Amino acid sequence: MSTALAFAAIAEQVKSAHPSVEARESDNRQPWLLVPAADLPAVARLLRDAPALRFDSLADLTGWDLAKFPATPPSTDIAVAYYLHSLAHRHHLTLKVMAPRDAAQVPSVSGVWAVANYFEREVYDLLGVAFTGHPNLKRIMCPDDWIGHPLRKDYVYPQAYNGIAHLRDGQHFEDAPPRVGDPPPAPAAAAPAKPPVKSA
Amino acid sequence: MVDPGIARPGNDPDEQVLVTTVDEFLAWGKENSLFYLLFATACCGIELMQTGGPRYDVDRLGMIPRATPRQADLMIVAGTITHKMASRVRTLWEQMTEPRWVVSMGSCANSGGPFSKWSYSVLNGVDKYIPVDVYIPGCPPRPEALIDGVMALRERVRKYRTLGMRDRDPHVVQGGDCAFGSHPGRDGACGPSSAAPGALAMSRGDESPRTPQSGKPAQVNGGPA
Ligand code: SF4
Repeated sequence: MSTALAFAAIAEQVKSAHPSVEARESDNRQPWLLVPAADLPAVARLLRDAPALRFDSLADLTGWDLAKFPATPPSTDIAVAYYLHSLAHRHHLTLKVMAPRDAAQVPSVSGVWAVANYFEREVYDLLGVAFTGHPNLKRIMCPDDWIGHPLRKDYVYPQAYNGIAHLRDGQHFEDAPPRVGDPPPAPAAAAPAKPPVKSA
Repeated sequence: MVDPGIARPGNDPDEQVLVTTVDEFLAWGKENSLFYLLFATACCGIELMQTGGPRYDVDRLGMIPRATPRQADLMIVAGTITHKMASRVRTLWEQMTEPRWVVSMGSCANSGGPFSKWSYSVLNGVDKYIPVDVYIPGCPPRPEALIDGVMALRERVRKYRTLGMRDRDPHVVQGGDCAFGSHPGRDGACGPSSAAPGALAMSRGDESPRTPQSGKPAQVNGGPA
């Protein structure tokens, strides 16, 4: 007999223990739980340890910048998502935590699922979310002396690293095609000749 | 009476003795034993592995993969080099014994390739960090192209002089100065040099006199992509 629970039943159990947790649904009707950052460690332990839930596997932990993202409602937060799977019950769940971009702090779950150690370092490296309580929070992909967090939408592209220019002659980053959410281009008359290289 | 064994065909001293210079002999040996470093960073590495496999079989050119740079003569930079990886590539290159050669395989190693414009993390060509002898265009280059590049490199190795006449320096950075300043073996002008006196061709079918080399890295299939 299958012991897998549907999302509604899982959400019911979590919300009865932690009323601050909200059940949400994305535009493509995928359900997820919005967890306040302060409650995350307790919710994670509940999900891992409750006999009917037993989310023993953190399949993925990732994040993204909601600025310029076609989200409803519009937001400028950094989203951190946890994809959980239960090998015991064969059910799964998505958690999300919203961190304000100026003080992005989320409690670490590396004490609950050890694999979160590297995942959180990646999110920290690329999005600048500080995971409090992480045993070794340092960059994992970019070099240790890298400046900035490259997957933030307001990331300023560096001109050079280690004395090596990022672009070859005649290239500049402003040529990027417009993305969703970009402001409309200024009228051509207002924009005279473009400087060859934007000052940092 | 003459020993009948001496009169056998092929036993004449003229047919057994090869006269050459030490330098020519060493170059001949280097050319035919280009051990390459087992090193690949991205999709081009798959083509590199295929080139070493039984179908293309570069072992027949004397190219044996080595797992340590200290035993390797040749580094084939196969794949995307990020800024973080570049310093590791430089370390590996420094650990190789001289004379050492570098083949830049594929658009990524040549110029950053598909990532050259919009990526914050990919190095714009490995020649910013280490001197490159041969560039092979392609994304990825087929094994035939890699072997073509190796043949171009063998031309350069054949002209390398271990003991004297170092005027034809195979380590020339193309497209700008090396980021780390001058490096061993880079001593002097890269322009045409006078023909090395005494650099005679070995008697193995190649009797044409050596011509002065331009000092430019060899290019195959039209040069860097
Ligand atoms: S040149 Fe093309 S095939 Fe080679 S590593 Fe780069 S992207 Fe991959």
